[in-house]
Amino acid sequence: MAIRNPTILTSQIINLAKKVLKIQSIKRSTMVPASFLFVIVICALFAPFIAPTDPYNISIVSIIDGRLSPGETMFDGTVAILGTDGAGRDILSAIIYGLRTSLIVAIASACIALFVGLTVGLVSAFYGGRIDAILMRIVDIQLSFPAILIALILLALLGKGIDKVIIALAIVQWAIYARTIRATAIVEMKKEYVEAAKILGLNNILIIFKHVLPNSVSPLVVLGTLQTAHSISIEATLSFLGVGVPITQPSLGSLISNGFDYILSGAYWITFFPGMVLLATVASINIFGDQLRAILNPRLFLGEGNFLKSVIPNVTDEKKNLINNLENLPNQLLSIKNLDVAFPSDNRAIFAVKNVSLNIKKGEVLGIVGESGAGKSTIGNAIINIIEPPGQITNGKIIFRNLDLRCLSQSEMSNVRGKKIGIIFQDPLSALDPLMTIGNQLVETIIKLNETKFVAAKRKAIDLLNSVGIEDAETRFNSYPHQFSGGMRQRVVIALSLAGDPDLIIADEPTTALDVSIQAQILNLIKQLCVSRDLGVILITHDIGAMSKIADNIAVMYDGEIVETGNKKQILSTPKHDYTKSLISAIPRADKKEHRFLTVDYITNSKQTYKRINLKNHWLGKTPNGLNSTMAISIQSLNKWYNIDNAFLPRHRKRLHVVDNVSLSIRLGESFGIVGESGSGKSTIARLLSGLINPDSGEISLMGRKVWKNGHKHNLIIERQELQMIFQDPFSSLNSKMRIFDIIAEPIRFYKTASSETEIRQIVCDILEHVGISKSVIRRYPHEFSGGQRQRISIARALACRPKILICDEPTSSLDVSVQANTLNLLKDLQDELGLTMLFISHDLPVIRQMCDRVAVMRHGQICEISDTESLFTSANHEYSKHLISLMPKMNL
Amino acid sequence: MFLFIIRRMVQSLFVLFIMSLIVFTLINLVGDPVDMLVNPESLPEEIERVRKDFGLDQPVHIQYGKFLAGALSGDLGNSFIFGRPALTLMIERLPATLELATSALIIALTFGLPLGIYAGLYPNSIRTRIIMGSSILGISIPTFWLGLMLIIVFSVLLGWLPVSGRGDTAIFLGIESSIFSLDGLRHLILPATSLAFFKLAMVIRLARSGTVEIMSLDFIKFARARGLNSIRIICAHLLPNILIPIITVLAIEFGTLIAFATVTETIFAWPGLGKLLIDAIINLDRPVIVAYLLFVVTLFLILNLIVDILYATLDPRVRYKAEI
Repeated sequence: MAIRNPTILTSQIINLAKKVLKIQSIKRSTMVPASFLFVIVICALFAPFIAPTDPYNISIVSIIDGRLSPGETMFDGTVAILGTDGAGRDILSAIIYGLRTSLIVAIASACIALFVGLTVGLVSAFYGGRIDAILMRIVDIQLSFPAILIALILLALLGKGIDKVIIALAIVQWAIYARTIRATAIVEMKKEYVEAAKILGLNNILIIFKHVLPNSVSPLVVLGTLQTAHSISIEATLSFLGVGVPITQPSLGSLISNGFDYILSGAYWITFFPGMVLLATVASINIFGDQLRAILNPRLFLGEGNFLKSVIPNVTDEKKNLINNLENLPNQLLSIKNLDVAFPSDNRAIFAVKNVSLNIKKGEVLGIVGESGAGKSTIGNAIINIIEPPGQITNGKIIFRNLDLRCLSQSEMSNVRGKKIGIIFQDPLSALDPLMTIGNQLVETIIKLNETKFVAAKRKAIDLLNSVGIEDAETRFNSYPHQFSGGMRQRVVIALSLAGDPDLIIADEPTTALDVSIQAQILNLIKQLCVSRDLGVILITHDIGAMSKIADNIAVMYDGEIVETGNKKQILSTPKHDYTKSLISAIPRADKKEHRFLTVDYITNSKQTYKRINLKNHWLGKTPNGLNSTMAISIQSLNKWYNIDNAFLPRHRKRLHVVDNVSLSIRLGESFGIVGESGSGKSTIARLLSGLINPDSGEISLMGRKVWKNGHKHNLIIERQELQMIFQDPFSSLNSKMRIFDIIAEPIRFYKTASSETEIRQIVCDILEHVGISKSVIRRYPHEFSGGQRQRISIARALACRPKILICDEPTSSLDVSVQANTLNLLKDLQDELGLTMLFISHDLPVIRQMCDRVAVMRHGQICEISDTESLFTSANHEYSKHLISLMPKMNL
Repeated sequence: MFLFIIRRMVQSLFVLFIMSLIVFTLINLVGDPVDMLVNPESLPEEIERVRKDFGLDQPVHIQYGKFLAGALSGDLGNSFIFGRPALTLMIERLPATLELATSALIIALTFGLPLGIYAGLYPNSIRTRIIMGSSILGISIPTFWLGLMLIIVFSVLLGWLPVSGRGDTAIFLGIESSIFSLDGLRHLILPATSLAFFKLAMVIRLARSGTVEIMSLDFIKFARARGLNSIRIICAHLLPNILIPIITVLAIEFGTLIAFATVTETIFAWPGLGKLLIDAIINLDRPVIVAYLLFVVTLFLILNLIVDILYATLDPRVRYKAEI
């Protein structure tokens, strides 16, 4: 709820707060505790002026005023609004002064603890290794003891006094700050924008303070508020016990302790009022912290709906009868008519699916293809009504064998799920309960759907496992999901979806998370099951190539609508709709090399032209002292091992040989590709070349200079500028707390390659326009851009170093096909204009064919074959290369 | 698995040794307990004699050596105040504290888990808002004040329950505890409740956030899509997955319960370890402080070990790693 009818001043303050905190609206439920806290802070700061008396001034306080009830008048005429305690102190004043003490202690100790914790946590995260191990052991030991106990013991040693309490509380708290910051920092440091900063050559201090720290702070904010509340509580407890703040100084705890003695005689106010104030203070801080956490971490703050129900439309019996009289074609399994799915948000509804109509028969595979956001998964979810609220189906019919699925009640629908319609999700690891054996998960499904007993269910489960190709089903029945490989897990998921003998299977991106060779196996399995069990299959994917192998009919989706349907042959060879045409043309061709990808105008509106720079005169074209060498990169006998089991004794340690005796050379200006599946070592080579990790043996030379030889690293300042890298994930490769202007200007500023701020600005704008981003957006933050645009910004950042060598580590694997085409075109253009040497790493053979002159095939850390791209595709030598090429989808029929 | 346990136990013993060293050194830096034992106006020879009797004239490392030798055979020295062995004192008081802490834990779990899971499953209902609001109150209320308020309301104003002290005990299954007698229960309710309040709120919040997190995971969605009904999903899939983090947190928090019992015992005059400790700190009764600390360290090490073993047993992913 937004604030209604604020006064002008408050609305100005609120707007300012919104801008500073960058949030959309401040809820009323935050205002209440925030205002209360504001009052408390004022009390604390101005205590001497606000309190009616000074209760700790011995000359004023007198025992005559002892134990007055609330509202009675004291000897000198002031009214004791909340009564007085045994010694004659006015309770209200004592509370105000006590709050002051509490706040001082809490904030001071928090600051010290934060400072120490930050330092320890950051050092631990950044340097790792033994330092990390020792520091964290200390932290763990301290954290396993309760705070109050540590505080008690410390105070026993240090004695009484406010300063001692502050120190004790600081010592108690630093450990949790250290651990939290270390955990966040470690996660952030693995992200690609930190790797990019290292490759840029920034020094460690800069990386920590400019990149890691700003991104690690948000959990600290929440932790800080909760810890402050906790410290106030502990200080009060310690004072209550008599070991905290001395009795001559104000403290809520000792006030309550004082009141303890008078409980039985009825002077409740001495205990009651200070306690209420303490409660209100701590509660407000906690509520505030909760709200902060909700703002910073929206996932936990679900206001949106519950998980166990979907929204069921209200359908009358009349309508039900009407629908049941529909004509149905004999073989028709599922028929969707005019489906609309809407997601209400704020004041309007976003339609994820608009007016979609589809048909599918038994024994047929229907492929629904589209790029991300097209709505294809939503259709799958809509059929079995598992759309997450607040999304709902607003219109349309889903007719499954004479039954309109939209008219079913919750329990009727759950009888359909699994029993008549099965579904397969994308990620097999997260689709299975990690704590239950796969056997039990199968059996529970079978028992529910077929109403059999355990023994029969187990037999059926083993049969299912056999039919999806899992060998040794009897023993594997008792295995857990994490003990299977990705492809095997997906087979288990398929077995689960078949458990109820359904007639229709919805496969939602079933192979996206798997390796290429496994993809082919799983798709074949699906096809074979479809034929042998006479199932209908809806195959939802973004990968037309994969689909082309097994689909019978294809429906193409764009922006929630179906733009074209037809059988496979017709769609692939003679597409009618413009979108389908441009989608197919954007796919890298496996059969021949084209100079450029045809631009997909339909979607990306890339008709705007940006300023192109004449590189001969521009700063970009002037590279620093180039050594004349024909060899850009030269690797000799490179080896790298990873420890996968850190046992104490060396002989128990296991090692993985990730890079095995690799040698290759790349000429200046050449475009070289490395292709392999996951685990082949190709990304590790990129990291070794860029200096992010060190090799165990071998030599690396860049631009003719030996960079790594015999275990020694040579000075890399110049190399840093000559070699830059583009990463795979566009979302973590840019620092989300920096404006893109600063991201691109960073290397220029660090290496001082431009003479003035104006020149820097000019250069950055030029680079941005050159990669196709308008210079009007330079003050924006990365999250305001799409994936493809962020990759362009990454490219711009790399260009700002004026590199000679560009390593592209799967730069387009996370992007949609059309965006991929544009990005690859850009990379090709840049290579031509700037004469860059490019090392292109990918698992996608057709892309390699389009982009590279020569290619190396890698497997299990070793190079299988190096050859010209064309020769590889026409006549490969190595078995593995032939295998990879055979797995490429052939779309031209 | 066996090797894993042995390895952890060796590590724990090492930590115990280091902690005993630290504890002993620190305690010896503080004050001169002789002042507590003897009238400062006595003759210097008297003071020296007392010092000798208590072994306080030896250099620190010899004192530590004696202490270590004694500790290994179960003798942690005699309390300066009571004159009886510190260890015996602690063992006498231990059951009362354990009783209090265990009752509080049981209360917290029994009420907290269902409430928290409910709050996680139905985030929008009014009841959830009430539950979550109360949980914030629960973690904000100072334990000692809650105890006092409970006394005021239930003992002074209403007169239903006794003000303080521990009730009669009875023996059941070989364990002597006041849970088993009605009078004992009457005395136990208030202290256990005031101690449990904070934990209860914490369990509610943990259960809620765990539920919200797990229910949004894919395997729950897949379970629904496969046709399993809600009850099956909650009991067989949700519960085991949230119990692991909750149990591990609670096992460590049991230690906090024992520590916070200090406060509750003071208010309710409950004859447990906490009161012993506070008095020892105020009076600088060194052997008792040292004995308490060592006991606490051992307890926490055992708790941590149990947590690690529990983790390995409950989570198959960890279990198989432990067996490599």
